Amino acid sequence: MAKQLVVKNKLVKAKALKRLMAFLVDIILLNFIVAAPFRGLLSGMMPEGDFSQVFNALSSNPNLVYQFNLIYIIIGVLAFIYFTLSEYKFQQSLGKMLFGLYVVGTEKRPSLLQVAIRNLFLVPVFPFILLVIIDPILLLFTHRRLSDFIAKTDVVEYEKRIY
Amino acid sequence: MIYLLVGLFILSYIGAGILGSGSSQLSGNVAVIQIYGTIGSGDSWLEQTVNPADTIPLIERAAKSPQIKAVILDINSGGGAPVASESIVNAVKAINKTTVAVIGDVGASGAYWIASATNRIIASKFSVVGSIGVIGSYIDYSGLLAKYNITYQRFVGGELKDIGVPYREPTTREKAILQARVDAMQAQFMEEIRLNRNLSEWQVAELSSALFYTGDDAKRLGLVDDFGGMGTAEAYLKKQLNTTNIQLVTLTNKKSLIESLSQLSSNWAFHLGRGVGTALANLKIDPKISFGS
Repeated sequence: MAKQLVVKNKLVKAKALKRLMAFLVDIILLNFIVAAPFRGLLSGMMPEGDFSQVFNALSSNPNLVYQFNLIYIIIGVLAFIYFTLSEYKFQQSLGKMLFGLYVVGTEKRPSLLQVAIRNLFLVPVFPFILLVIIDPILLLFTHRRLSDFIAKTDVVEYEKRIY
Repeated sequence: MIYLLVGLFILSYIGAGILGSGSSQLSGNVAVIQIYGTIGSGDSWLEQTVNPADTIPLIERAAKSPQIKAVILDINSGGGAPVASESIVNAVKAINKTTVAVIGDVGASGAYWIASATNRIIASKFSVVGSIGVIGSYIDYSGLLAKYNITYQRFVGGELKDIGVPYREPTTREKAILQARVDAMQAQFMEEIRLNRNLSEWQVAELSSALFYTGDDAKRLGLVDDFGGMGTAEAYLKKQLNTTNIQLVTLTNKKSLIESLSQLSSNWAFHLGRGVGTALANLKIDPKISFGS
């Protein structure tokens, strides 16, 4: 019986599902690394009760809303730093490593500015927050996020050929 | 990658720490407000004081904060000025949340009045509790002044304008008036405590002597609900709030750097002075030594 030879020699556009799975792995990781230290603060701040009670408590306390926003911005910025530095240095985040995905730019290796632009959707401030809605829709139809279009980057994987 | 993750973890902890220290109301669901020292409207360099101007904003902050579900008053005070005590009592009564008083070494007089405004009073068996009374005493210097041939020249518009001055002996009428005022304040004070604690006639009669009590006596007289400390208060609140998650957050007035340094230097000067004074008091001076020829 002939031995099968697996060769990975051609870069192809990564599948949306794989990208989603890799992103989920990164989010789980960031939940432990970045969000965990803020959990005590957030649980102490969160008003108790049903949705309307929580809504009323928040709408009557703008200072509390401001502090919530501040925490989410800090978490977002730290997540942005994680994705930007890891994708600049290794062309991969930990999730992408697990699924064999790479971030590439026009010059093959993306510049710091390019990876920073493609990860701006993580910073929860206007207008970047809009990318949270637009990016997945575009990914679904074009297999590329709007952030990737703007940054001129793409996510690829090696095509496996079995001989 | 490992360095990046470790770096992010450290940054997150630092960020959470800064936010937590920047706003103490963020880190808990039960506010602890300290009532330490003499209650009054002034500040003292030499001892801890409870100034309503500092304490009431903390109480109001706890009352308004949506994440604060209950308030614990951590009391260690022998009381103080009645008006200052009353204003704190009113602020405590205005809290629309579960309130608990935890009495440490002392919770007497005006401090007990504040405690009585809470839903539950917890104290140690060794806490000094009670002393529900009024003092209007003062030192009469008239004998001392007479000894040094200093006289008090009295010019008043209104016969009783200078009632209570320490430079002359009060008349019989003045003594009666002052005692009547003190009695009236005592009666008002007792009535406040009676209403707050729902005391019976015999309890009021016993407490009207203004004696302080400890342990079993305080509980028997209805001054204390439970024996214990902060842990007992937490257990009570878990039951009252029907939760297992009790996170205490101590509300304090943040001092500026200048205020902190000023307090530090004044404390240092006070202790230095006391040390020198004690040393001088203990100094045995040889009677043979004399100054001059």
